[in-house]
Amino acid sequence: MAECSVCGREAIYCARYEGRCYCEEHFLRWFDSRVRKTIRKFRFFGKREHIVVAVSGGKDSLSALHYLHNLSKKVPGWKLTALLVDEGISGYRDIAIRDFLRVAEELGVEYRIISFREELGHSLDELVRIGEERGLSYRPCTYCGVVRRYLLNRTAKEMGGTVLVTAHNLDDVVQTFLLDLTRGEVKKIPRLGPVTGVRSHEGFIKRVKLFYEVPEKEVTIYALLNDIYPRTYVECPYARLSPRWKIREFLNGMEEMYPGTKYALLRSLLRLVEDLKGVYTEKPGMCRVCGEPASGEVCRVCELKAELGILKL
Amino acid sequence: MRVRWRTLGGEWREVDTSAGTVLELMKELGLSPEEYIPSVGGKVVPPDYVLSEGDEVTFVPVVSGG
Repeated sequence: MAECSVCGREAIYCARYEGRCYCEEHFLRWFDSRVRKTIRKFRFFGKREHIVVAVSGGKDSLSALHYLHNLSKKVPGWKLTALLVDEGISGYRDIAIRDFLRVAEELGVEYRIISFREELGHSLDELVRIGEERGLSYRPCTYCGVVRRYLLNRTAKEMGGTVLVTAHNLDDVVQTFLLDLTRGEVKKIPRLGPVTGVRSHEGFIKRVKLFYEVPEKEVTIYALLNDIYPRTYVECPYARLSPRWKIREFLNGMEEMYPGTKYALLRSLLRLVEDLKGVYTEKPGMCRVCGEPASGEVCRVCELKAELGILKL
Repeated sequence: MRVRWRTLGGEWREVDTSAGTVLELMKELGLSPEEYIPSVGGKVVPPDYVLSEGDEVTFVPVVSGG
């Protein structure tokens, strides 16, 4: 069986893209050193921060919370809280919330849970049904993504947060990169940098993608080794309806055949983000309905609410 | 050789296999090593883990699916 490239003990994981294997102890050290390097390189945090971790109850966000909880013990100027958006997907989010509560209570992290129903008057399941009845062509992930980003930004500010952490990993980022390219959405590429929201508008809280340089597979192993992998595996019922699912399969096939593909894409992306700086300089204004950042007169959430007939513009 | 396997959250199944390693078993079962982490007896193992008669292998999904 493969041996750890550091100590020669039995390996638990081999990173084919770098030709090295790791035992449990050295996997965790290697994982930690890489996330720290990302944090330093992209200047995610200062000495005094109120870090709000966006959590879903899935393995990535629970890993982010666990990781930052441990790191924050060494930084006296940091306050760490968690924020969960319950979109109301029956048989899915309710289970994930149980997993989140278990980990949050074990770690002793303060948290806040908000829901689509409280904020919009409807759960995601209901929004999808209303959209279908009205003949709208949006996929569930469109409502979910747009409203979730909006609520995370607004609530993290209300909580006094100085930085919002999302658990986006290397796979998420390169999938979105390819999705944007396949849709001709070059304008959106600058948003795929490791840090966003800082300069674009005062209404945006700074957002950082903690696992920007870590493959999803390795975040999964981190969660398993730290016993925070969700107790019950449930897949979002809407996940396979998204084109992201196809892109994910394609990228995993490429990575299997050509290890390092995902990192090569990330390097291309970072280069593009740098090259596109200042090219798309559209500065968002303020939504005339809700006062949150908007690229037009009205923000995307208020537009969607209007299309769904739950808001009159 | 007979081993038991499941994907996390799924039913245990038994398979008669000629696979010598977890990776070979994954190929036989049509599971991508990019999409599942193999564990035997609750411990994460690398794809070249050599299977033994009666091993119980759980494949943990990498994708969180939403």
